[in-house]
Amino acid sequence: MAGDQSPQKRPDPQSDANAGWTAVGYLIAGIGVWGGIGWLVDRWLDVPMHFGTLIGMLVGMAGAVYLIVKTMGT
Amino acid sequence: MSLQLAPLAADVPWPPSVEEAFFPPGVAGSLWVTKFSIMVWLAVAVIIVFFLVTQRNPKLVPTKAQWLSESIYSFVRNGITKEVIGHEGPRFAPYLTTLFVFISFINLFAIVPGFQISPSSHIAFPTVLALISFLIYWYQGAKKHGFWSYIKTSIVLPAPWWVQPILLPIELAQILLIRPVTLAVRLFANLFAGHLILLVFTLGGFVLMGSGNIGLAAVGVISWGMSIVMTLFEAGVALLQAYVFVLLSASYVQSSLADEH
Amino acid sequence: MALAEITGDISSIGYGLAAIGPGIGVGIVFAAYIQATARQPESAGLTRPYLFMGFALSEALALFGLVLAFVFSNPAA
Repeated sequence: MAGDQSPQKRPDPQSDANAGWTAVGYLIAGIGVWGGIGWLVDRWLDVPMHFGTLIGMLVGMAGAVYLIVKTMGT
Repeated sequence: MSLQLAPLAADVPWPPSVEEAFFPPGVAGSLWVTKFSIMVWLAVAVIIVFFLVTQRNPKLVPTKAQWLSESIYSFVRNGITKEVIGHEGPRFAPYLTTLFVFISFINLFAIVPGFQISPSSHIAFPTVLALISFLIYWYQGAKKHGFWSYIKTSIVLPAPWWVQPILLPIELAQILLIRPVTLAVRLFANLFAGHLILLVFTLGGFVLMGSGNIGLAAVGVISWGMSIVMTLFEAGVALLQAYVFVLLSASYVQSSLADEH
Repeated sequence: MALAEITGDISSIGYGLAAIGPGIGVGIVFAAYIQATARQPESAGLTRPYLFMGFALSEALALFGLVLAFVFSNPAA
């Protein structure tokens, strides 16, 4: 294993920026998609005070953070 | 000169009321997407992206951003968890660092132009944060000592038997009620008062300038100077309250991890 | 026979009274820190966490008074 000099160009600011935007994308997509599902459930079941949207957004946020930690965390 | 300044005071809400100043309407009439939820989402996104990007390819000789995130983490880990909790401290360092950075960020929104109000000036956000700390120190105490044994060790202090009936209810209220409530209300009240002070000085400056009296207009300028001083003071209070919240949470965890008397 | 009538909110008087104790308390905390640092300057870093914690704990009481003044306020008619 001593001679295994893998030619990786690690310090790449482009991939860091990509990771950052990926995380933001996960967050926005999570909140948006699940908020949208919650809103549709709202309209279908006529939930009082639009609780469906709230719970959908919370679930979406939790799922997005979980995805970020799992795929991009250490 | 006073005639030109009179329009300044035309539609300034004076005195600032709690309803107008602290409860802006929801975005697009929605009940749940308000200015405060957007601020919280923004804070979460910035914190996640910052720590993710700086710790992705950590080098032995750190870059500037990596140094910054490592300094913040080591400030909480070495300065708070190792000092206060002791040996088992670093186990709680991730939660306490996140809490510290999140609360600082949220509090600093109070002086950022554009937002100029902090979500922690609504009682809901500090309540949830205090509730999470409360659950953590109860869970740690129950895990270490067993549920009823933990309550017994926390309440019964070394004191003569005839003083115990006075001490037991006080200690029970302390661990059950006083600690989480004061954690939440301390953060809430500091940010609420800070926002109110800034409102009074800024809006008061407008009212004084538009009053038509040259003496009062001079006082209006002083009022605006005071609002600048108070903005800097508010920045200090924001960071200090985050630090105290985290320090007290660590201290409560330490008290539930402490061995039997 | 009423000589004069004062209207207003008693919460503001309550808040003013509630701020006396914490004012003295915060003064005591900082006085202790200044004296301890003056006697032994190397201890300044060691006692600084206690300074901030003591200040925030005393200040919290003054701010409870402010918040409760708003909660219990009864705007005079």
